[in-house]
Amino acid sequence: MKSLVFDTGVIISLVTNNLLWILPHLKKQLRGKLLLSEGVKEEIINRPLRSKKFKLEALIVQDYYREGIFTLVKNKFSQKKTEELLNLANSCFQTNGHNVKVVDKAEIETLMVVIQNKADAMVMDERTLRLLIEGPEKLEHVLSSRLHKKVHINKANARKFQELTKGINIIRSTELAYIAYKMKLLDKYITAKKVIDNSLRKELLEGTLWALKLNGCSISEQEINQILRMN
Amino acid sequence: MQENIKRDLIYVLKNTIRALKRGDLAGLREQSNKTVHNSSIYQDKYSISISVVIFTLFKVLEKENTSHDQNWPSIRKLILNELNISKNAIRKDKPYILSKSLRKIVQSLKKLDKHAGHFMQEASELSKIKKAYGIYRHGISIGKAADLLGISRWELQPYLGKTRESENPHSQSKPVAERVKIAKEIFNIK
Repeated sequence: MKSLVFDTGVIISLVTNNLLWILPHLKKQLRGKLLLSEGVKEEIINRPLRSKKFKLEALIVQDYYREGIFTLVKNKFSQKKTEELLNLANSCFQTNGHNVKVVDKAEIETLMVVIQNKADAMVMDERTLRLLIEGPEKLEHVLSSRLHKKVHINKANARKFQELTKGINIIRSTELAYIAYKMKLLDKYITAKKVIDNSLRKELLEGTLWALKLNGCSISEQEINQILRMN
Repeated sequence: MQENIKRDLIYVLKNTIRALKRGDLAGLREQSNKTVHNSSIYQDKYSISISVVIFTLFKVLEKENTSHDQNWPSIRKLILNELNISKNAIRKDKPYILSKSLRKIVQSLKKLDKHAGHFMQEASELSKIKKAYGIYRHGISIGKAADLLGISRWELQPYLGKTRESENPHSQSKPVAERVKIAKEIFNIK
């Protein structure tokens, strides 16, 4: 059975744009499971429910969770294994003889759920972990240019991390939205009196992708334009 | 605390005292940004706390009527005193005195805010978000940056979306066409 593992950021992007409703349709199309790690559930539901800020958003996500749209998955790897991968990720870059800790434990736990379940993709809007998996040398460049210091990549550790995460596909909320667009799910936004205004289709996709970008999905304007040109 | 962090923080506090004495707002802001490098590399809580406190001070002073407040001269004196105490606490490796001193600065700013509702709280929250953004901008993940500042990703992520950070060409690790192709294959969409 197919599966996708969701990171916190994607759910934030979708719910803040009132787009969470596309997930049941996407799940049906996937014929698989949408997985959440315990850490992600804590961040998107449990913690905001204990405060006033973002409580409504957490309730909305919780409703989808209770409906069974998401499946909670425990990280079956031992604490030791998780710590090992976390330490490996956080020792890929050094400056002034010091390891730069680039990711946190919850992000690594999500990654471990991907590995454990051999998921088809990790759905993640976050930049750093994506770069670490797909192009650590790019992350090295970001770190060096922003810290104004030479950041050395520990090639052995970066290679080991890449081997452990080899073959992991990463997609973002924008790619999910694109699929929803291709499935014509978003057409309801350009439908009045039961008539679809096809002249607005490009604007519909553009508006959706920009809304996700402006709520934190790490996608550039150039990438958005490339997606628009695919149609 | 590592010697290089101590040296940098003492330097920042010295300049903060100077900027506050002169009423130099841009100077205050600059000092608060200077600790972001160390916050990103060493992720030590003191660099982060000092950065947030200085930025909060900047935000409160930026507000038009702060310097006209009748309590401002005495509060300013207290803050300058606490900044000196903080500086000496770092020099003498006394972190508990530093923490106490930073807390006193925040409390004194709250007194100024009595009549301004939740401005101080907002300034403090904004400071944390701005500093978390600074750390994220340096290449640290959203989760790690939010954790270091004690804020949630719900607060940080929409703020990041309004910045130009994702335009950095080094933020792209795979052609978008390839990512879309992967998504289409997974969902079996033509």
